[in-house]
Amino acid sequence: MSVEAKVGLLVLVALLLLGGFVFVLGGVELGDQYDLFVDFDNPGNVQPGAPVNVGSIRVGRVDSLEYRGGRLDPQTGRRPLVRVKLRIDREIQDTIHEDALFYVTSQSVLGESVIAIDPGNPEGPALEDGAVVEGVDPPRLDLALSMAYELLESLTSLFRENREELQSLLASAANLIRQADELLAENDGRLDNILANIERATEQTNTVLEGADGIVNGQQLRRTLRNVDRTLASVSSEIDPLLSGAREALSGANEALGTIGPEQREEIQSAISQAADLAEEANGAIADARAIVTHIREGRGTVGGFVMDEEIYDDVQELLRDLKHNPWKLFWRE
Amino acid sequence: MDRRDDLSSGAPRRVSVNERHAEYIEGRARLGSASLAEEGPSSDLNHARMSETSPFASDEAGFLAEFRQALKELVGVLRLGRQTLYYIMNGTREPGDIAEQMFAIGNRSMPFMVVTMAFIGAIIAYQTALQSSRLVPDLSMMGATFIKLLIRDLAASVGALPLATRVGAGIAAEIGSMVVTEQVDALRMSNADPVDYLVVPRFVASIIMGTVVLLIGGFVAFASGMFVANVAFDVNPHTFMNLSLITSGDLILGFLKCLTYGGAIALVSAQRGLSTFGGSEGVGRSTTEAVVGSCFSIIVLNLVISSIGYVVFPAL
Repeated sequence: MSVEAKVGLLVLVALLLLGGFVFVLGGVELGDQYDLFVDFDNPGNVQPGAPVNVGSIRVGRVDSLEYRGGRLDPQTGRRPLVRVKLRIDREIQDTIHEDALFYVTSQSVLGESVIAIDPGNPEGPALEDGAVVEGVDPPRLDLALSMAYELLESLTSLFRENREELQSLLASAANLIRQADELLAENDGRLDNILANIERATEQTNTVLEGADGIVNGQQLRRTLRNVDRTLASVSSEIDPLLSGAREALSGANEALGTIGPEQREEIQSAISQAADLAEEANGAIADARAIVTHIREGRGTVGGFVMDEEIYDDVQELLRDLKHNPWKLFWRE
Repeated sequence: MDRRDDLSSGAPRRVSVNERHAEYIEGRARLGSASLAEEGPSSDLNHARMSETSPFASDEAGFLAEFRQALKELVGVLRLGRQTLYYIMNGTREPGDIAEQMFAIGNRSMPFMVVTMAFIGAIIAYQTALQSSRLVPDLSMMGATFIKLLIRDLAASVGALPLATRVGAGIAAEIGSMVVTEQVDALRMSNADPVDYLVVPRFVASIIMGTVVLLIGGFVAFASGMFVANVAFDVNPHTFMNLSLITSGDLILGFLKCLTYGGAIALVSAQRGLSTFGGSEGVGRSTTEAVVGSCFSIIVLNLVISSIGYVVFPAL
């Protein structure tokens, strides 16, 4: 082999290696693929070329990321910030359904960000080529850290500004715990008794509850409940005709009220006011009569004395008896 | 004719070895140490005199002289580069000259480079995994980082150093021997410029085959690194072969470094070879200086290109 051939062979090997590397690096996919578009507000560290996995199996790659800036998409009615274009193997198209979830995750703790697909309900329709779906944004660790930082800063300033109060509080708490400890140590025997009493009370309560359970599940209660049930059933059967009758009566009353004109209403109002006056006068008369009756009952006045004094009654009776035997006394005075 | 006029006209001035020798002796004499002809006890005496006048004067003068000498050599390399480019465009070469040099630089370097880069790849992968596992027990991204590092810098820069020792020493020794045996003067007498006849084929061959050798060496380093990661740290080869961090900027940067290092090794070594004087001892000195100068130029060029690459293709 000539020198030129040997050199050419070496250069060819290098070129093949370089070409193969660029081919692999470019992510050239030989199989048929289709596109899906996923909207994110924050796709994290996903870069073009990142893998797309279903169940940790690579089925495609991220083709590109487009910044849409929250503009309204008339097709979806959403305002995505970033739209990610995915190139996915055509052979799994019928396994990615409309309710599939697209979320950003990483291959390991410090690994590359990937887009993982949860395929969704197998009975749902498959996503079509060029479909636009909404992705699940990854958790914002930076925001969480920022908030945690603020919280820590607030706590630090709180502790720093209220150091004396906190020390006093801690001292008081320690004192309280110490006293509680001493109290418990001093009343050890009584506490045992209290606990025993509580245990006994619990047992009794259990017994009572068991008895109550027997009552609740007893024959009498069941019978009562059956009666109540029957009553309610009869009420329920009777309530409809009653309600219809009441409705009719109310409608009749409404009709009757509808026939009364304004003039009749004034007359009715004047009649009612006259009746009120009359009632007032009657009340006055009744009060007078009541006063007279009271007067009579108390035996005051002529009629009172005549009605209530028994002596007068006896005198009158004797007079009448005397007159019956001696009628002439009406005309003749002894 | 003034040298500047000579260069601006496009035809480089032909400098004989005797003239270069004279320039060298003149430069050493200006340092205040001694002329080459007077080296020996008198030189030590001069040093002693200077030390008596000022304890720091000799160091300062020595540093300035070294700096001036380095600048002169840099200018010499740049001038040689200009002449080389001129003769690439306008020169006439023997057919097969470049192919022979490509064979000598590329094919003959392959066994040495393959073994060296295999060891380098294995060592880098082992140390990377070892240090990483002490921080985070997750080596899933080790391959991606290793490949990025290899493509962006290490395959070219680390691989170019052993290449410089072999190729640079070869070029300097070959040209230096021709200079001390006055074959270069014979070329000039035959109206053949030594730059066109000796430097251009080596320069072109070094650029092409340096890139080829470093490319293949990079792949060997990657393969050995993958093997070590799998054997020593149980990293799956599929996991290791992760190209997700590689960008086109990394490839461009690595490729640019390969091309530049190949050219720098040839130019520095050829310049040292053409500056050879003093017989076989001079050839040895030129060879050593060629290797040192080539390695140094690779480090400096790495710094320059990496700095530019950091701005143009930032490593994400």
